[in-house]
Amino acid sequence: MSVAEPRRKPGPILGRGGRGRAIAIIAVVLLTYAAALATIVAAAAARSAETLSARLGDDATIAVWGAGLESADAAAARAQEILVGVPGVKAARTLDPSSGDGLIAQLMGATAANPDQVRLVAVDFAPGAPVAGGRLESTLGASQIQAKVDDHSWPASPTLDAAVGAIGGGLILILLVLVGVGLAVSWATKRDMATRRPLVELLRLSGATDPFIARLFRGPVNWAAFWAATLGVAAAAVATGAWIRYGAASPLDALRPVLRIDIAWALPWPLAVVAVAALGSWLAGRAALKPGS
Amino acid sequence: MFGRDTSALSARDRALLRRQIGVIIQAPWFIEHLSVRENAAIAPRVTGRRTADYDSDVAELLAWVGLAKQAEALPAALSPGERRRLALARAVANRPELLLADEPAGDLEPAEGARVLKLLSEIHRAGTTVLMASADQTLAVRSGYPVLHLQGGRIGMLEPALYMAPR
Repeated sequence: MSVAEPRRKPGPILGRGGRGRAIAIIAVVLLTYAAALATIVAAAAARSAETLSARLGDDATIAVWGAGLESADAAAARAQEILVGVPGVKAARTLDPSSGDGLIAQLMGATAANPDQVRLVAVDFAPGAPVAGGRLESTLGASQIQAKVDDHSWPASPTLDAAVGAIGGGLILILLVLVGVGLAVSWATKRDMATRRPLVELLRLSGATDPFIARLFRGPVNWAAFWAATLGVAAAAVATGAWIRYGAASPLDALRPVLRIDIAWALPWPLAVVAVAALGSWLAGRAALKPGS
Repeated sequence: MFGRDTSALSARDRALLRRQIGVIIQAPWFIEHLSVRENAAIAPRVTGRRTADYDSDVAELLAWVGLAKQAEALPAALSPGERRRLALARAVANRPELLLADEPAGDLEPAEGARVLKLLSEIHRAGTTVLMASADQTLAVRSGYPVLHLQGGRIGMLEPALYMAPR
């Protein structure tokens, strides 16, 4: 005679999950894995952009022209004095003309018929409070000093654009993954309820309310989604860690220093997946138990 | 039903109403991974009662239908007659006011069928209204209870002479 395992607590009414739940679990693992990788890359991009803009935004170089009777040196000295008085400017100094600043001036597009007519002034900003190049130019212009400011936005701009692209792409992917998780869980719940229709009817005949029946089906699938998401995130963390440490040389090598395995981005994933799974399974349960369904 | 218009009831109220009705379907279906005891206890369990509150009632019920020894067995291990008795125990576990039984003795050995009918009779004597459907008119008449005749979608009562036979 087949005998059930003796237990004090009654066994689970649903028993083992069906094939639908297994498919949903695999889908959630894969989707969460992809989303976690996207989060790692987006976080790295955000970190790089922040570091770059902080570094490049800390100072600026200003080309100053001598005009009329005023020599370039005199104009640079006057500019230095004015700039020190601008709020947000920590220090200003005229660069040594012999240190190749003529070349720098050319790179900045600050050309002159006589290279001796241009001087460069370096400005350091107070931490976290860079002053816009336009504002420095207008301040100097108000004192009849012709100047051109390079606030380093030109090398930072493409990098920042790429970072914004990576963050945006990551967010879109994350949204798509959450929608995918919701659909997978919803489908699995519906399928589970459809394949166990006799059980649903038996429970109804036994006096179970529809919310009770729906909870019975939702609980295991939501719990499974949580563990699947945890597994997906853990797999992404392990894969990233392994690539940082042991990955072969590739064009993506520049990414390695900024990639981090951080619990702060890993923790929200299982919770977000459970929230989406709960919504998906709730909607599926309602639809499956609707009269006439 | 029970003095209420069921068409006007909410889904929740319909579920609560169903708790007053026990049902035995023609081919009883069980949760095969749960024991006989757990299957018999499904109605009190899904209505939110605590295990401690109904455990002894279910044990008594299983003893009454003759399945005490098989309490921890899986339904697959039961004979057709035992399965029918388990279905009966399950249907009355919540002490319903009305018990609907569709061919409760159908396809059973005569002795086993008679045993099930005897149990139904005992339930009736304990105060539950029993409505049993059977294609076997002889059995229905022999039961000695009032017999309703369903034909062409209409229900009529058989003549008293037919159902007033001694029980």
